[in-house]
Amino acid sequence: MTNIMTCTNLKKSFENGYVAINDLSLTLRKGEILSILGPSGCGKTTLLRLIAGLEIPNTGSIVLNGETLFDSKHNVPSHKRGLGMVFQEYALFPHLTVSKNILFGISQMPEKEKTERLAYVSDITKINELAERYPSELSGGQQQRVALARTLARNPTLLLMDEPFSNLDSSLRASMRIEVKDILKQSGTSTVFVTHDKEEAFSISDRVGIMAEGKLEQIDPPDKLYFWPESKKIATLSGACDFITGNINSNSVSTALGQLPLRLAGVFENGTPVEVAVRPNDFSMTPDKNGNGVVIDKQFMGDDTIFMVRTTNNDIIHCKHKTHTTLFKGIKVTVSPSPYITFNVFKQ
Amino acid sequence: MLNNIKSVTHSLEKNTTFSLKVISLLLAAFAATPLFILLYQATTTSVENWAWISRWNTLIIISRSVMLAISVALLSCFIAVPLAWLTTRTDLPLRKMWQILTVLPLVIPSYIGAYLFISAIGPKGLIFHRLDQIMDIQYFPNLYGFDGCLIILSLLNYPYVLLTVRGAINELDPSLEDAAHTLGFSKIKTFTRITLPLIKPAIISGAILVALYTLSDFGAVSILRYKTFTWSIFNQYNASFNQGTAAMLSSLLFLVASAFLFTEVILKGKGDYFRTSTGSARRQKVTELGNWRIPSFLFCALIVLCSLLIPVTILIYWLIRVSDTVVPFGQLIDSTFNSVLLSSSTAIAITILVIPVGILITSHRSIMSTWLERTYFTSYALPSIAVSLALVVVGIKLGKPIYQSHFILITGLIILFLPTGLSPIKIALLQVNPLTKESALTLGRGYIHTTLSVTLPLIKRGLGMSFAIVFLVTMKELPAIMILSPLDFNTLTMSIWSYSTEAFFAQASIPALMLILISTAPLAIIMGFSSENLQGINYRTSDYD
Repeated sequence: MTNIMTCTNLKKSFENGYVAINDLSLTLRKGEILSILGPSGCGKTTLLRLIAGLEIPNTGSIVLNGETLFDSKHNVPSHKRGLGMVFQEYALFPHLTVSKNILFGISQMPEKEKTERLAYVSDITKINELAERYPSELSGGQQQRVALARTLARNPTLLLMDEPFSNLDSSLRASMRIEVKDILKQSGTSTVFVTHDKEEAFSISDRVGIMAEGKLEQIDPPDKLYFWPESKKIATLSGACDFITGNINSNSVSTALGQLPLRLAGVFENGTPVEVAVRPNDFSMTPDKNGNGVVIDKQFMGDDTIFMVRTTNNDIIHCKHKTHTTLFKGIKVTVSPSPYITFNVFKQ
Repeated sequence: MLNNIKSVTHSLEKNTTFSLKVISLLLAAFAATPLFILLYQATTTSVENWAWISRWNTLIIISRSVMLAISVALLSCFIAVPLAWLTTRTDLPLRKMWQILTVLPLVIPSYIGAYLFISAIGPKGLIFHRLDQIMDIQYFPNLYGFDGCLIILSLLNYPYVLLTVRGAINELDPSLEDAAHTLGFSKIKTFTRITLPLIKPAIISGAILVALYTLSDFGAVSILRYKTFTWSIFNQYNASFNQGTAAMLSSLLFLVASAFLFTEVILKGKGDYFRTSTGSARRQKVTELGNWRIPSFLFCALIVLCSLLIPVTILIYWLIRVSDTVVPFGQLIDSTFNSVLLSSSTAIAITILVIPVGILITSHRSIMSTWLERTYFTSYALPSIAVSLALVVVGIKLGKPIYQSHFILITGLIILFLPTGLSPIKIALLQVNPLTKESALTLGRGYIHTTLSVTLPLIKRGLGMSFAIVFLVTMKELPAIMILSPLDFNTLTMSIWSYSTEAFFAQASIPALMLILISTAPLAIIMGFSSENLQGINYRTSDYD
């Protein structure tokens, strides 16, 4: 696959001294949907604004489709970068109707092509009926579609999306996610997508970059991020995660919960003290008065119940379980790893 | 958007709504009285008056007033729109200072401006008087009439446009401009296609306000001898004491002013101009002026020089000259006290009265409240001279204790400035999240207690704004005070007026300075409130999409 965009050693600090982007490099492949996942304030929106040309980096370079958008000598202004951005708050022009909003960005095209583009994007975003409405007369989901249509109408080389679903309610969010993914794949648009929602990032993207404190920590396909986190920080950022202590013992690690099989053996010498990343789905529990843990709290979630268990080592872990009624607070349990599960360890 | 939401009608006790309605209806009756009197007088007047009014002359007067109003409004926009943008969104040198200085001309009433202007460059004024002495120059530029009025009224009224446009620029959603950039629009194109259309309603509102002030201006046009509507009305009333024609002219003026208000509705058109979505408001970006920094700086300096510095300098010149003449200080103290007393009582009365009215028209939307609101705003289209003349008629009918009493003066001022005081309260109340009030109600507080303990503290900024604005406009008001004041009641306005019309420029300068100094206090309050708004303090905490 060819790369469509490359950011190299980007750095951005603001007047108040706050460093939003700290030596960040990133490549995007053609037609790929890449999510940038991170907590609020980690600089992910700033990254998008740098790529869009709405903020100017201090140093570094941005190359899109072979053209240098920014480096120490160049700075292509925002409106000449040929990329599209969907804003968190949609930013529809309140004084223009839906169709005029869409036509706004393609006013230079010949009349016939304009009509075709308008029809095409209205079609794929399913907003044909809304053409003459004003933004204030649209629901959140409709505004979202119009914003996407307006951006796609220009057939951008690169699409930037800044938390586009955060203003939608949760049921609409889930369905819009699938719809938008289909639209982007159908139009073959290369996309950088910014979000703080793991589920959203994992379900929509080909690759996910985890960002913290202005840096990209790891960038990989969603399943790899989840199962092969490179650090404790990424293990935590890519999903719910607890850490228990243990010692390496050839292909496994000895812990208060028994011998746990290693995902990658041979990295550490035998006897090395490590921390084991455990996820809520990794264990099963059975009531046992001689067990290795005690239930200290439980939280009913509907399909599952999350149990908080204290091990004999005083580590606290979360276990997801289908059973709700047979296990109670204060009951002793045996916690054992589910079949086929292997574990990641990190040096203490 | 909040404005579009019909607030949930609270199931409050019936008698509370009832008393709100009674107060509001009484006030509406007061507000509508002048118009009805004028219309009654105009329609029942004698045949000669009809003949008088249907002369060509009337048409000329109308066209003079309308031309002046439109020209002043346009010139004000040309001054104020660039100033608003320069002082909010650019790296203009000394931006904060210009932000304050460009609003200050509001403290100078138009008649003081006109008198200072004439006293400086008029035939017997300080400049040409000197030139005459030194060089025997007998030539005077003709500053009377249209040109003088246009310059003076534009220079003193542009801040109305400036304030509304500045507010609109600060309310702009910066992501709209970002979106336009990413959609391929350059900075300049973005300004003309996005920013300008979005602040257009504010420009129109400001311009219409200036046009209405110009239509109703009496002081400046009289001093500058430009025979407009208000001048003719006063002349008919004062010189000929012909109430019939005065009433007919006033009604005509009302029609013209209503036409202006109607134009505003048409020009604004459709579309919700407010922030359409939620999301955290990003700070407005600062545009770098580059090579335009110096010309922009000079532009601000020129406007401040003409609208503020020159008038104040002339005023100080006359103050120095005062030493030659005898100054009645007792009278000055007396009139200052009267002015402050009158302005503060009017402001207090209006601020209290608009609370129930504001609550009724914002949270109990109905056909009745819509019509009530329109009634209060009639005096926007009814110049103070017309309102005052109508009240004189009532006063004469009712005879002694009422006619030329303090009561009728205050009533007139309340009717005149009710809409001025109502606007900030209405905006403040609309910004109070209805849920705040509802949550108080569900926490077991009664309706009245909720209003007192939750709503009022939330709108105290609006109340302060209301008080300050009404105080300021009452301080500056001329015709109403001139016509409705009791005979022995002397105010600063009237001292200035009588001295300056007699060309006692030096004597007029002391009360003029006093009035300007006192007026800066409410203006400081107004600007303090609006600068807090600039920093993004906002009552709107939730969305209603």
